Amino acid sequence: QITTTEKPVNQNKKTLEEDDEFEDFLVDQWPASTTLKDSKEFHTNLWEESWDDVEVDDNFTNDLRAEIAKYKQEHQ
Amino acid sequence: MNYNLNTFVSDIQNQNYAILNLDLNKNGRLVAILQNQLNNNGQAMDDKSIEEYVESRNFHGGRWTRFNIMITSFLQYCRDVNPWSSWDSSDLIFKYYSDLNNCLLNDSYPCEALVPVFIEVTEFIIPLARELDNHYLELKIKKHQFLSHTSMIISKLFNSIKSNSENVTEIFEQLPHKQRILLYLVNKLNNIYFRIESPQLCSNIFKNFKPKCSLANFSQFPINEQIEYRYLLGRYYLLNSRILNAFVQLNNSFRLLLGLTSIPNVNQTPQLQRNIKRILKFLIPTGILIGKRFRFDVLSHFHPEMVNMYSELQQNIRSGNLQKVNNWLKLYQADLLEANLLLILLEKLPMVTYKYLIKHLIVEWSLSQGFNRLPYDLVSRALRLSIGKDDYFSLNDSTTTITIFNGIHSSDNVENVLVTLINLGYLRGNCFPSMRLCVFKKTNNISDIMPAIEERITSMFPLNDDDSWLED
Amino acid sequence: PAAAAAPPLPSDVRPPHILVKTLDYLVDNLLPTLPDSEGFLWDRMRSIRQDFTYQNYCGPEAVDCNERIVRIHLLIIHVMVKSQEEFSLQQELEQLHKSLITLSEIYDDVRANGGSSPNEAEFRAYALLSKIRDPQYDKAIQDLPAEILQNDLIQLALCFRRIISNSSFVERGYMRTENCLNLYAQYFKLIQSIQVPFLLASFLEIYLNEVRFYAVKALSHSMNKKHKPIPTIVISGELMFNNLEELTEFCQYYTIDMTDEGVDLKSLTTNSHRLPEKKPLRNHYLACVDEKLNATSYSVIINSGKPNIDTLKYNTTGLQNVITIEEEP
Repeated sequence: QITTTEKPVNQNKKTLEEDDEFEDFLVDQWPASTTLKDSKEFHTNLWEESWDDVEVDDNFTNDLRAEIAKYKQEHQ
Repeated sequence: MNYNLNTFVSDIQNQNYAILNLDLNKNGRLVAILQNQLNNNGQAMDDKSIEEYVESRNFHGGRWTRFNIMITSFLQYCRDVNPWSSWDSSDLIFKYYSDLNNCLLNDSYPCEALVPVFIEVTEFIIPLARELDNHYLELKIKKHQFLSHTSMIISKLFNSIKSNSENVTEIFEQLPHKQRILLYLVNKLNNIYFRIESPQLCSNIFKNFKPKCSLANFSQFPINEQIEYRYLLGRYYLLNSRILNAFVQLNNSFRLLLGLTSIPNVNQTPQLQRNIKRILKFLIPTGILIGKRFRFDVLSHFHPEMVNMYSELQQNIRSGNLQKVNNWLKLYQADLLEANLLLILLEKLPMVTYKYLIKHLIVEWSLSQGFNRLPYDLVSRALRLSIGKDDYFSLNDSTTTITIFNGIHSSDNVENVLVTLINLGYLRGNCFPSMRLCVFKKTNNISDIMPAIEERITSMFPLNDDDSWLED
Repeated sequence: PAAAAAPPLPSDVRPPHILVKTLDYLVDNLLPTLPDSEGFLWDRMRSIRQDFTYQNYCGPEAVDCNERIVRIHLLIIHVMVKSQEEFSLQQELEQLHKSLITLSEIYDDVRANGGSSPNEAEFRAYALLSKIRDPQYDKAIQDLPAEILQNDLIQLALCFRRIISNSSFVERGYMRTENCLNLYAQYFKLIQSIQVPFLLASFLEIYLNEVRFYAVKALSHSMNKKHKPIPTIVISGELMFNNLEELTEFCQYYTIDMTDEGVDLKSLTTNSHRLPEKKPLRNHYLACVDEKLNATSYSVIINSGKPNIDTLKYNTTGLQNVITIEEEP
């Protein structure tokens, strides 16, 4: 038993969930076809093919369009 | 059970080294029996007697001094351990661990058989060191003292491992035991360095890993160790602002981990699930920084909490809305600080955001009218909208305190923003300061004027050559 | 003493309170004689630091002296550059850096023992500027308590670190990284603000030459070949040269053509601000920073910190609390 006379000051220990360190886990041998990476029914590509062709339409974009329209008018 | 010192000695002589485990949860009965014997009803064997006793057993013909020292340490631990206080026993524990480690340093002795018990003890030591370090204030020791000490011991072993260049093999099982634990040690050390807030020390480990390795391919190491290595390397790159390198390692770590996860099992292995989340915590922002966009359906499957947080950010970047990007950073400031992500995002998101803002102007103003130019004045108006008025710091304003959110950007920086976009390769064009105009190629295809961010980054920032063997 | 010299006799090492007095004397009597006293001050300040090291003392006096020594180095840098007297910037920075490291170790220690240091944020801010492109400093500041990060000087230092992070920055031993900002215009704007105190601005001045060089390089790379020279008055204003002579000196150093029409930025051919075949371009100062200095006195600037007493709050309430660390059964 450790006894000390000071109050713990720094006890903000992280919970398991918050800890960034990897946990050990058992490596199971699944047939490749049943793993997430190679599954057909489950899409696992985390990233979209392209971001550039996405249409954006939000308040800011509308404000920007209005500003462009105003500028066009002023410079006709 | 009739276990006694003699049985212990014959176990050692038979190379049954598993009994050399300190962990009382696993080996407590044996340690208790030996403690009884060594204390001999109040007539404890003193250090000298233990030493002489061990020497007289003539292990390994008496030629391996470090082995005797290690066995002596173990018996001293058994004699003196206080099962109720790891602090009281810590000197004994770390002395034994260090002596055990010393046995493994010189390959001319038969140290192979000690490797499994070294691993067992290491798995016991690291959590113990963490626990003791958590109480550094009460124990009046230096912050991270025990983990630092542990890392010094392990790094000795790491340094003692040499590549056998004549015998490079493709088969993990053909390696000597010490070689087999190379990546295990690398990961242990790097984890400790992160935990003791000195991740720069990892650099030396990453650099010396390959030269010490006798395996032809990285992929021959145990898969879980490969995944953890990439995770740590990715986080190390991220701390050093090397985004593309970080992305490649984290993304591969993620993909390899999915390869270990079966569909029926995905919800039943909490460790796996948590490890996936650990990777995503760093992978998602890193991807966004190189201009990638995550898929909602995939991310929501693994980490639903992140979807809300980051889809908002993606949207704000894609609209070119810098004020909202800054608001997002403010909103999540505490979380981002904890992950050391705030400042890197503050530094590296704006140029991506500006790219989309300018792109919008070129498409809707220039291309729609068949122009190949963009006037500074229009850019200035767009910047004012994007940066916002409320958060805007100006020189005559003495009441607004300058912060990281209002002190960096300004609609006065029109030419400066365009020039930086051109230098980064996100905008193919020329500035005409005298005419306050940006001019680009005559085309209707916006991607000829503004190529994809990822494409530009991969061509301007090469991956670290030292990592190429990871992919072979 | 030289590196090989034996450590001094205990009787020759000055105790902490005497070291404070020595520094007081330097501030009151030697600072006003700058730039002449630069070499003497450098030497005396180093010896004060050494005496603390010999007795391994890190109490409030050591914090106070190291803090004021950092401020003095920052003051000296500006004063010397403006005076155009010969001095070694590199030696000045070396001592400055050592003091900052000493301070950061003491601050860490004080914090680890439950205390706090009243001037910590100011010197963490200088540390952020001392290695302005080193990501380790970003990690360190993010790991400190949030109130340090929220400090005005820290926020300013972090702004400047972002503003000139610059993906095109080329120097040996430096790794370029992705999507950095090169907002040179904002550097010149922000440094004028009254919210940027003199000492911080003085530190930022050591980056003046490179900020100007990389502004020119960025412009030159983005301008059309056929673009005519930029009028000197425009360039001079944008890059805040104090006069035409300074701009001419800059252009000559980097072999940028100047004509009657102005500065031909396209004629720039060098890639890095460091020219291996030439002595570094002498350092320059900004008039707006000099104005900040003129608004006050040397000793007010140097003695501007809060007193370093009561740095450690000893815990007297916890005596009755006995805590135990138990092993799992």
